[in-house]
Amino acid sequence: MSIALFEAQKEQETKTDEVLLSVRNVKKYFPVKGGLFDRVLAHVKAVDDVSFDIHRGETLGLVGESGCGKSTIGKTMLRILNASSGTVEFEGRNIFSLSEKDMRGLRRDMQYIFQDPFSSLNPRLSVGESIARVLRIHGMSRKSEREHRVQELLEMVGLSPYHIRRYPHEFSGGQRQRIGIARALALNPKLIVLDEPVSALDVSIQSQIINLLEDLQKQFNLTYLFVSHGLNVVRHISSRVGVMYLGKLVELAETDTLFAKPQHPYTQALLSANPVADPRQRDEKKMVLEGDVPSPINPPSGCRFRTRCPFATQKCAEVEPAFAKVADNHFVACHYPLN
Amino acid sequence: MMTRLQSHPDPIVQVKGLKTYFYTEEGVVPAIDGVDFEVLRGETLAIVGESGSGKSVTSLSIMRLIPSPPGKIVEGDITFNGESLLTKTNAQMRQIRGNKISMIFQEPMTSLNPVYRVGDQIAESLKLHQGMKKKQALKEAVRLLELVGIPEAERRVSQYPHELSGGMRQRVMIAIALACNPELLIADEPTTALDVTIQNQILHLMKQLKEKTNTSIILITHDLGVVAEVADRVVVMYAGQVVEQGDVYTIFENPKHPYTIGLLESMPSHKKRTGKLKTIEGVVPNPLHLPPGCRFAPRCEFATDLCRSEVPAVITVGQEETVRCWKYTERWEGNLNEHSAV
Repeated sequence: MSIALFEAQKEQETKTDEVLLSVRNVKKYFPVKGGLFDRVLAHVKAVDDVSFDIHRGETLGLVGESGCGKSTIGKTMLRILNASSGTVEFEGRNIFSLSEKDMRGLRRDMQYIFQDPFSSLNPRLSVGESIARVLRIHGMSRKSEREHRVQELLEMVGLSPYHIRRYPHEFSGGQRQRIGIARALALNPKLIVLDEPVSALDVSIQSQIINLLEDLQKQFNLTYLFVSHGLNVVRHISSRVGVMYLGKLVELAETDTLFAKPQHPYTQALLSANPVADPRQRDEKKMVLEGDVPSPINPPSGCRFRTRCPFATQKCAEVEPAFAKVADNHFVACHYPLN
Repeated sequence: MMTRLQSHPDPIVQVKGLKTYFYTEEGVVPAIDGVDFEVLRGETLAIVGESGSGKSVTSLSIMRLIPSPPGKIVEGDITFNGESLLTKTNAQMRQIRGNKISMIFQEPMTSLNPVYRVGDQIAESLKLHQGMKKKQALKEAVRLLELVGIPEAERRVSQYPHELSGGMRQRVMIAIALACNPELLIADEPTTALDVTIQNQILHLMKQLKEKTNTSIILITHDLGVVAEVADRVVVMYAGQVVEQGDVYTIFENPKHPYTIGLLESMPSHKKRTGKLKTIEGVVPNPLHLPPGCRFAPRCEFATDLCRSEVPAVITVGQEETVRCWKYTERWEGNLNEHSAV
């Protein structure tokens, strides 16, 4: 190996451009059943041919409106849902081809945090038991060891040791989210999918949780996929951001680039609709999108955004735009990117 | 020391010393504890606060919709066009609700009746309050749906709520609320359940309607972005009390109360995204065990012994602003430094 190549490789490693997880052409269709024999009548194309990479140590934000498939991609990625087609490689292994047993082992490395941890915590188990169970299932057999670890985890997320014996209903929303985070951290994961982790929380509590997530990321070199409809939060926490619309990834770029120079008309509309906490900016002309998101059962031909896009032409109805590179680290699926 | 804002010549709503308590098995919850504010004609007043601050109970008190028991308005007065609403009989209140004062709730699916057509639900209040015949009322319903920007209104009037999207349902709710040309519209988190592009449509619509009909609006929300977008004046609530009120520019650019400052600073900003977010440590106090002094004192970085022992009064600062904080009184001996930057 030549020295130059070696140097280049070394630089790559320190830049943490290493791909931790890569999603390729993933589709997730949900059958719509009905009729006399419960036939499959149609499919909801929740995620339709989506590809992207997540780099080790980064936070990739995923934004979009309800029904755009952002949560589905998160769940499919961790095989909580089975994909209809496509591949997901985690550290080079295609996780869709793993056996159930191998997958269980791999799940230690990949965790999922839900919007409302209350519905994902067993109400009959104390917080300590909930977390200890995860440890036991994954092979920590000594009880004293488990107890020690649970205490350590609770401290990590800013809860007191006396919370161990309490039950989920005794906690506030912010505290429950901390418990959810503690449980996700229990097995030292590498990747955590955060699905609207702060959307249900009050503003002052939101910032506590966001700071906690950032601290933990630094401490344990975690990689996050941060799924949210809250643009301000995503902008704050993410290094790169992907925008989804109706099952498709329409734009992916570094956070500052995406917010400063969006190239997809939908991204622009989304950013423009985002209320800005400055009353002096209220009269700035906004791009108000007409109409609603079309049905994912029968999405529009060509570009899916064309029915609401102010720049749509005949071509947009006929040819589906490719998800193409327009600049370094900037991908857009549009025939007529802005700028 | 002044305790209240100078009254404007002709406010549409005046809330004076309002206390609404809930008598629960565990004890008395002072959900609203001495609240004063006014709504002026043609303005949008935003009431901001986190969960449990009492903002929704305030609006339900104005509508006289506090479930009783356990709730009760124990003190104070609410006037509408100069007349007290608290002395009205239930029959008189029914004449006002949906007619002169209307309300939009957060979740339109639960406030629309699933077994009636959308048109009939709009027509109902027209028949009741305006004495319209069915045919005329349905015609008016179509006009209202067009007004709130629903395409194909002719077809939509005969559809059921489940056939409409979330944004459309919220438009229908607004159409119902506007049916009788109310003088006051109370919107309780009207866009919280909606996506941002749909929220933008609804806020745009509310702004247009205010200009067209000169309706006064009370907007209840936890979202400061929405407040900055539509409000003329802002009331900030914390633990059942108004901690600060003023015009929207003052609240955003020169907030006084440490809680308001904390709220604004803990928002991920559109301007800068580096560095840690400011937080307000701790949580909202349990309403059954409120702190003896200022209710925000346990979370306030400026709190002194005075704050922890005595309740601060509402004082007027500037021209139109009030704040409930010891820092702005002559008894303050603590740190007067401006809020420290992180």
